[in-house]
Amino acid sequence: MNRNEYLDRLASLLREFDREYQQEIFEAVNAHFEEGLREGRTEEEIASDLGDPAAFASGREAVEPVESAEEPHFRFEEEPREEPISVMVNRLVRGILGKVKQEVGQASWSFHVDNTPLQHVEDGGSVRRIEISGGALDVDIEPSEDGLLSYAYPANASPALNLQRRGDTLVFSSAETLRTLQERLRLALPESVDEIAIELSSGDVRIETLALSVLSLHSSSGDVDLDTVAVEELTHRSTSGDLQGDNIRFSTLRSDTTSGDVKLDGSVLRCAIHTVSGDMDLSGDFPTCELSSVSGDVELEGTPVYWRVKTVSGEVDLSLPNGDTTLYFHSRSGEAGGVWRSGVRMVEDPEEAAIVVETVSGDLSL
Amino acid sequence: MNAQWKKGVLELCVLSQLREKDQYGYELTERISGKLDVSAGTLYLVLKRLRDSGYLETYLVESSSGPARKYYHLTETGRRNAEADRADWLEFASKVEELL
Repeated sequence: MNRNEYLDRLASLLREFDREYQQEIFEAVNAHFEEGLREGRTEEEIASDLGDPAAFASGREAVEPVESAEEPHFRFEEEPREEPISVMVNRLVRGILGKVKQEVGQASWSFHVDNTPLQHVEDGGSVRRIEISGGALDVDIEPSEDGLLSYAYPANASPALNLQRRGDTLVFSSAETLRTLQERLRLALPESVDEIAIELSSGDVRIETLALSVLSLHSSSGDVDLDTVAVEELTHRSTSGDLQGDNIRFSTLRSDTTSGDVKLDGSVLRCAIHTVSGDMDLSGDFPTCELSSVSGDVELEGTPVYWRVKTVSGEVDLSLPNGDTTLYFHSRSGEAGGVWRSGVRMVEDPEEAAIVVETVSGDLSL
Repeated sequence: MNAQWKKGVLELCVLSQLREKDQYGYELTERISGKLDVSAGTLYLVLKRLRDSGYLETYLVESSSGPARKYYHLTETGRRNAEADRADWLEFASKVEELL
């Protein structure tokens, strides 16, 4: 096992533990790798010195009870600006949805490659919510060209796909499968659908040119790829799966991954992302952001209104536009560097700062 | 080495190693795992437990060749416990030896 494999394994084993414990163990293990490498030993040797990562999970229970595995990762402690956020969100989202609906109208059918014919779902126009669950199922979602709700799934595929209608909800489910049994479900959705919930173990999800109010995505090792998608409330959770978004507009995003990376290009009004070793790369418009990671790096570009970034060993790289802003930086052993513009004023009190960066050993660059 | 015995003496070994001087994690775990065939991971858990019990404190020291090192330091409580346990152990070991 090399260092990354060891850390990934550790991250997934410690997922249920409280964050303080995760950070403490990660710091110790990281430091052990650093020291060992400095002495000229290989990552594999050091990993074998450290022993089975599972000991950190079982050892913890022997040491002391887990206080709260369900500690919420994020809290927006206070409204960052008194007046606007909720008002602003509503106004912007309405504008965004309108705009994407127009884009949807001109969308071209771009990413389906298989020849499985689309089947229409009867009375699909009255479906408001879609739920999908399946182990290794891949899911592709596109806007409907003809206003009907349709889906495509290989007829002879194993496992079979179950389709169930409950009021205005349509449920697609497939039995849990071996990872090798990769099947793909393709969906073409009319505008009436504004909520989607997807729960997979290793399947990938791809959504193109869609506007929704609620989108919830859970896939432990599957990747999520969103292209030209607007969502009011997006929740994402994965272990090693990545979240990638291009030309996205979300009003609220919460993403929680262990080793999955999050890469977004577009705008998110309120953004909260927590990873253990996954990197974050956000560029565009992210006025309010709470990002935290143990060893993942953070790259953030945009105009800050309220940014809070915390890492243990991850590097933080911020790109700011011209204009005045205030920064509070606290680190135990990391350093701040880069090109400091005169518009960035350092403050002593994190309460007063637009940007707060706290890290144990990561560096900050501007 | 018998796992049950090891479990009993690991804490004592860690505390004893720190009686002479403060050490950082890598240094300490290498020394002990070199002799006792115990993984560094297990020792970090022992260190955490001892710190949570107030026997150890940690502090960071900048290092010229890499990231800061976390050093472990025996507290007064830790020192008293280490000494009492050490005396108990030595007495116990000498009696066992007579019986072998």
